[in-house]
Amino acid sequence: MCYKKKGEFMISVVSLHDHHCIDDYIKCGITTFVLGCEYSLYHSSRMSLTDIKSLVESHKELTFFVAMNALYDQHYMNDIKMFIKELSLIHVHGMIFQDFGILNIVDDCNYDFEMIYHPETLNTNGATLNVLSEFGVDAACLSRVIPLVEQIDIVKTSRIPLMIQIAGVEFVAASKRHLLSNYRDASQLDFEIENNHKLTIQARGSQLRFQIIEDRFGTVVHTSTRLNMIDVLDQLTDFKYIFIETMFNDQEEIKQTLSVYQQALEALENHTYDTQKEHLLKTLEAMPYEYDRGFMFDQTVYKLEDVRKMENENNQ
Amino acid sequence: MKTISKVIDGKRVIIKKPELLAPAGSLEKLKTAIIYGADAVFVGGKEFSLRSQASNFTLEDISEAVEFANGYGAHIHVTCNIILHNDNLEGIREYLKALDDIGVTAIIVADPYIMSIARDMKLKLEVHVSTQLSTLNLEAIQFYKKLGVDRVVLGRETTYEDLKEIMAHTPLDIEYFIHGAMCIHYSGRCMLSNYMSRRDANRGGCSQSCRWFYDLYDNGMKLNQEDDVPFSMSSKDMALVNHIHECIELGVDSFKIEGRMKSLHYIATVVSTYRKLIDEYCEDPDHFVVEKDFEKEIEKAANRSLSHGFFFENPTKQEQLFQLRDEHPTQEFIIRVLGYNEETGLAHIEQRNHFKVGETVEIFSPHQKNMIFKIEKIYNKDMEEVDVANHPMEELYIPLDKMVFEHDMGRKVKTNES
Repeated sequence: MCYKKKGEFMISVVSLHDHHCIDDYIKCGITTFVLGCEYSLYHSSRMSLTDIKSLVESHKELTFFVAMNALYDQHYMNDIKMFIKELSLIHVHGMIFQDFGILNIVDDCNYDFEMIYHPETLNTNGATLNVLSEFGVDAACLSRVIPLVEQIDIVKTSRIPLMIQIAGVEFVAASKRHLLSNYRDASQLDFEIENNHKLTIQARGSQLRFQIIEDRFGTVVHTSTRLNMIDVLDQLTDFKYIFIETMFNDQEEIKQTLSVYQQALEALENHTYDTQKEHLLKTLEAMPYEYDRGFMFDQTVYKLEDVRKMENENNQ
Repeated sequence: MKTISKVIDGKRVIIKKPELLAPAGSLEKLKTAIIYGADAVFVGGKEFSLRSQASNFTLEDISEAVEFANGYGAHIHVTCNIILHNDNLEGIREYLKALDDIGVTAIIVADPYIMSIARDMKLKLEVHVSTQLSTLNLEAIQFYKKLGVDRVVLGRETTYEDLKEIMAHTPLDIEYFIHGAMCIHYSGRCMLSNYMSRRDANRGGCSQSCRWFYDLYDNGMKLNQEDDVPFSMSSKDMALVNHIHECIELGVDSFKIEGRMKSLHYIATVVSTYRKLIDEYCEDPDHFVVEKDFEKEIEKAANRSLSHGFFFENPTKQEQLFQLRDEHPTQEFIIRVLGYNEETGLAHIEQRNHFKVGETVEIFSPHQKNMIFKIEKIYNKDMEEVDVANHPMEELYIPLDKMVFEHDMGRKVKTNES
């Protein structure tokens, strides 16, 4: 089921790296932002409630989501309820969340937020999203590990609008443990952890390198390469939101990335995308960063039928 | 708040005894778990279970399991905890109906679609929220109540203090992990395996890439050199053997042991230890002392070093494995007892691993305390004396001067000579 009306266009959503730079992003055509806060699991910035309020009040023409995207321990919940109440008073448009506790608070208090369910790995079929739509989920991000063809298939069966990430680093894993601090203690090595966005890990024998950060919620691992979907945007037109992650990016990279993607979207609207996409792809790839395709054109091997086949072989 | 204990004849006893829930990857392990004292056993179905390599059960197997469990007043839970993809949706209703008809007590579910189907079908079986959903707070539990589920399996990250708060107000039954391996990351939300080996952790293919050795870089410069401990994200296993009594007092409904892929020896040892521990505590909680023997017994089945996980606080380096993978072999399981002839003093046994005359064996049992014997003689099926038992599953006889029972097991005791 396609939820969009004919003529409606995808909305670019950008994680706000530095709220002092918002005018630069607006110039690139961005009108919808995700803000980090003290309860965000990971985000390119963490704004205080006062800063969020000030930003929202001074940009009433824009749409702001707040990332309430951690899994929360019981002892945080009273403070979180108060925080959400405050957000409801300052006209934040919605929240990105993965803990159903957040959804329950919003539902019980009848707050009017657009609730985007983003559990990183779990949204893998339309039927589940349709069930969740009956319980207050307004939109969702699909699992990162399913191929584009499957994502497009889910869009067709989902009754709620969907978001897909098209650029930036991708979430890989999160731990409640302070893995960097634990390692520093175990190894006696001397390195900065707090606010250090330059730490990476690489498994022995592997070429893949991952960004790793630690804060009060624990440790989060991201890819170090950036997702590149510039040349397949024409396949994503049934998604309501396309998301650009700016974590680990400097200001120049963000501006260049937003600019290229906005050109691509304009080309789509003007029906010139087919002729321009090769040029846009080259422009992006000429930038001094490493890009990848995530799992968009790949899939991991353990599909259910593979398991059935494996077991049948074992039984013979 | 549930009533946990009551004073009877001047002595406080626990009246809300928790369920002991054990894993099983085969019918043999399932039966062993029940014989060794599990109140319930969870198994994976062939169709919609997460652990693809955990020797999952056919409907016929599950039917046999339910029948066996009924004979002991035990229950069978079936994991239907796959994260569904569009191409997995077919056949779920029929499968749930079949499980319900068989008499399965509960299904363990990670996908809200399955929760919703089970509710709509008005099945007799209970629906339990899988730990794959990492539920850590009461608000999330309230959400699952709206979805119509009966029980929530909490995330392993739940501390004792948070558990206390949750137990004081939960509207649903709570299941809490007490023993087994731990993911270093939040369960169900980790894609490390997908990236490192293209194996989908949420479809049973986790390659445990977190336990690999990594190098750490700061701004491109490698921090750890050749002689340094490599960076790793490997967790010690969890064992709450010394803290079970605290969880019983909170009224936790079910204690879960992890490990559908673990051995028969592991299941028998771990289940038996927690069974004895729970029973002893519930019988006389005010005079209960945590004996070192329980911990020692558990260690005999440990695949890795043990820790308290998140029970007290956020785990430190002490709860992680560095440098060594630390997968040490468990004590060797060598004998399964098939019977005992009191007249001849001969134990009828099944060989499970190599052993020989002169070696020392520790017999453990759901019925009595552990006993240690030296193997003086071994007879084969034709009652011919042999020096070595080196044929897997061979039926043999050994003289024992104390009575043993069917289903008792023997493990090799390492001595200076062996």
